[in-house]
Amino acid sequence: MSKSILACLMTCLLLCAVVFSGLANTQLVMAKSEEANSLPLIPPWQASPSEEEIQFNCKYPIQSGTADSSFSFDVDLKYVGGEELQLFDLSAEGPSGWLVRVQQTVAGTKELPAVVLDPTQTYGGEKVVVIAIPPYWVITEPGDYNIRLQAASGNLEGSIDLTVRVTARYEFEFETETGLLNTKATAGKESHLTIVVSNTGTASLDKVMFSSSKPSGIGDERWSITFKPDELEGLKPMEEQEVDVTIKPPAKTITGDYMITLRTNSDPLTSRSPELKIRVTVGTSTKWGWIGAGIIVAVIAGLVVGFRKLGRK
Amino acid sequence: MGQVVIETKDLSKTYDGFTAVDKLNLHIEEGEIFGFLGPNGAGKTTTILMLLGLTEPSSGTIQVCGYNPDREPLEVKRIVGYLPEKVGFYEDLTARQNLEYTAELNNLPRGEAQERISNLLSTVGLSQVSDQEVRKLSRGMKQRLGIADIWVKDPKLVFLDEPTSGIDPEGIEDILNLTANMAKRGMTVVFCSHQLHQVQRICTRVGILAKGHLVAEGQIDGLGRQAIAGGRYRIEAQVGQVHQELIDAIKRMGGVTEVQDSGDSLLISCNKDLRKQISKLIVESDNSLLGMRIEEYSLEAIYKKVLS
Amino acid sequence: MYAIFRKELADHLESKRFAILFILATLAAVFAVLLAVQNIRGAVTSSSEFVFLKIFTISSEPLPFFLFFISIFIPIIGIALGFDAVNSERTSGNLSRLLSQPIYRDSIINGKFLASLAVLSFMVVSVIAIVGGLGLRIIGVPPNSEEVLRLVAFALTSIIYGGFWVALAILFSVSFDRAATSMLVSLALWIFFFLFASMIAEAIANARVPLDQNSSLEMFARNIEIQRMVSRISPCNLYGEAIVALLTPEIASLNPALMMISVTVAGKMLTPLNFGQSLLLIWPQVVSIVALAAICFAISYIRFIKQEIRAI
Repeated sequence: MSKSILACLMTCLLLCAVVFSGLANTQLVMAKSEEANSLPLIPPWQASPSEEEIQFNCKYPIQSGTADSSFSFDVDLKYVGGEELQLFDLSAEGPSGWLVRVQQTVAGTKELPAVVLDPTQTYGGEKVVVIAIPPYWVITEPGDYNIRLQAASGNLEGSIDLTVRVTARYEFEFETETGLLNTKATAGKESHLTIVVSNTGTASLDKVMFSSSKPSGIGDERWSITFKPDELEGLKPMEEQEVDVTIKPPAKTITGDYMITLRTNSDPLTSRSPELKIRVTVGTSTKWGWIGAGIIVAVIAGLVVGFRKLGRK
Repeated sequence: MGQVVIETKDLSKTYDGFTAVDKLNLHIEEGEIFGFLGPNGAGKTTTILMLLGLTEPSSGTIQVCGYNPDREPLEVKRIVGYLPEKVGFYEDLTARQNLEYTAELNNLPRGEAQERISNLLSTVGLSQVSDQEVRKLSRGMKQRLGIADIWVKDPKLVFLDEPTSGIDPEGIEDILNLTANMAKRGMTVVFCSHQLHQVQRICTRVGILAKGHLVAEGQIDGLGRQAIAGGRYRIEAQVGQVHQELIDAIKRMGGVTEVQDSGDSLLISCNKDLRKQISKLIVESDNSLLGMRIEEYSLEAIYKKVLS
Repeated sequence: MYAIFRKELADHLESKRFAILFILATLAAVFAVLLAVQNIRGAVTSSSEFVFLKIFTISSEPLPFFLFFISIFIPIIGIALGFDAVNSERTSGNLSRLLSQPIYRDSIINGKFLASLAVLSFMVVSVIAIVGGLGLRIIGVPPNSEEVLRLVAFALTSIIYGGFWVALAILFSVSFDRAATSMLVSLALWIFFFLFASMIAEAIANARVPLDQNSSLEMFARNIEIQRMVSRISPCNLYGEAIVALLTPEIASLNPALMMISVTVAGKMLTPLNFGQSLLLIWPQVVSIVALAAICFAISYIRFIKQEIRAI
């Protein structure tokens, strides 16, 4: 009962505050100070307005992302306790190699080396954006990285620590050495295909495993597709490794095109396991091709000889 | 004379109740050219077929060069050549190939056959066309090729069935010469024909067949006298004036059996050649003798007479 | 006889008839196979061991398959090789000349029959070999020994079947004086056997065992059984059954009704028969064809020997 009455009262007061905020600064400060005492919703910098200080407020001070993403923190700056406009120098620094900038907006290109803060401004703060980009020439190890934004004017200075939590991105690519998605094979014979697995993620992969789907064979004989090595271990980011794929169609494979699919799996799992669909053109084994041609030639020769011997002319 | 080549005794052949050959007795000796005459359907070809062993006789016996064609057809065929009336060749083959086939069928060794064929082709005058397909040859050429064909096996006895039918006079001449040529080389020839004057020219002996019977047989002049004039000589005398006295005078001559008056000439039958005596008589009786001739027995006349 | 055989053989080999038929048959066969090979992948199931034979048995719509072509061409070739064997000799005037040579009379007809059979075998074997070679070249799967055996048996059966048509055509060539007549009669008989025998069989079967929607499976089976039995009067059907069974090892019974029942009712799997069993299956058919050929040949032989050579 008493709780709902309290909520009702609070709503009324908040409404009153909104209405009054349009009238006059002093009145508003008054009203605010009254509110600060009674309500916990008041921003922190109004907790002790008497002292001159710079206050930082960041709603999301910890951001997480993969090493190749850029991070931006919206930070509100508030100068309290002073009486006049004051110019503050802004500086942001991160771990070495990181690009850290202070900008007005995320999309903006201008860096903000300084900002003017108005102590009389009672509502909100001045918003700046801190951009932090991990180095692109080296994969940043996963972990927490500290970015510090500092504002200073004379003796007055303040800072806020922002945390970039770099998480690992597990990703790899997988393609044939030549980039072509077709290969040739001969029935009953092994043919080789080299595929290249490259870690395009931001963390090493413990294991990459391979599997394949085969066209249906004839009789008990099946297509055989083997990988050598049959799994990769500890593939570091940016590293690539070759895998030799041995494809052996059954001896009684009818010539033509067959689709095989080479699949991968990894540990840790990635969002997408790349796979390759490869068209295998099975040609006649040269032996049987020649024998076939030989039979035709033999028949024709037999016909000619037959005509010569048995005919009259 | 020579050896007996063909000897038949009461040879008969009946086809479905129709008697084609009826009790035929033939006797042909080596070296003869025997003219075998008779109208169509008289049974000439049937007789030949029986002699060759191609058709079985209904009754009677046959001996060809000492073989029985019915029992030993192969022996007979080995030594007998037969040129059928409508002889045919393989039109797609050349003249030479046709003869080679015949030679092969007769088991002649290849080399010998080649030589013989070349000789024969030149004998029959076909060397020029020996490598042409038979379809391009004329009827006369085919007939000559037929002669060469039976000659390939070097037969002892040859049957020529109407070899001169349907070819031009020159061709006929060639065939007749070739036939005579064959006889000269010791082959016995049986020559079937309607062309009586041809038969008369080359045949030494003839036999006339009618309705399966041999109605006449022998050498032509003897046959003629026998058949037409009952064995008499017939003399035709043309005189200036025919009168009864003369006829009576001739009739009174010895040997004259009959005198006929045919207006301006007299037909005298007699049993010997009385031309001298008759001409003398005519002249002596103050008549004028305008012409005189003794009748020759043309085969045609004999043939007509025999068949009538 | 050898001389006649040789001569007839040479005649056939040099004839336009032979050249045209041979080229046509080869083209048809090659065409059928080239088209069939395109479908071969779909037809080869994983349980099939006889890939090579598939070249000969697969059809590719709308063209019929190789077996169909060959079963049409063999009678035509057989008839073409025999219909004028004797009567052309007679009309051309060669027969009496030939008969006056020192050869046995039967050797003429024997030589001619054997020469025709030799030419036919030559064609059949060539066509099968060309098709086989082509198939081997295209699909690259060699035949196993059983497949080779089956193909040899197939060729032999085809030659025997062709021999029947040759014998029949020779019979007509002995019986009819005009080549055109004997050809037409032979062809008419072929068309009768080829087309109408099956229709008649169907009509008889439907008369004996009428079928409707309520008919039981047994009724269907009986109907088909009667159809089969009646249609076996046609050598075309005998040959068809024989070669299909030879080249399709999966066929365990020549009776489609039995096959149907065994598959649907008994759930029997279609396992391929081995060669000996297939041979056993088609043995009656082959023997029947041989017997028919022998009868035709014997009749023509006797007629020819007894035939009088008449004066004109």
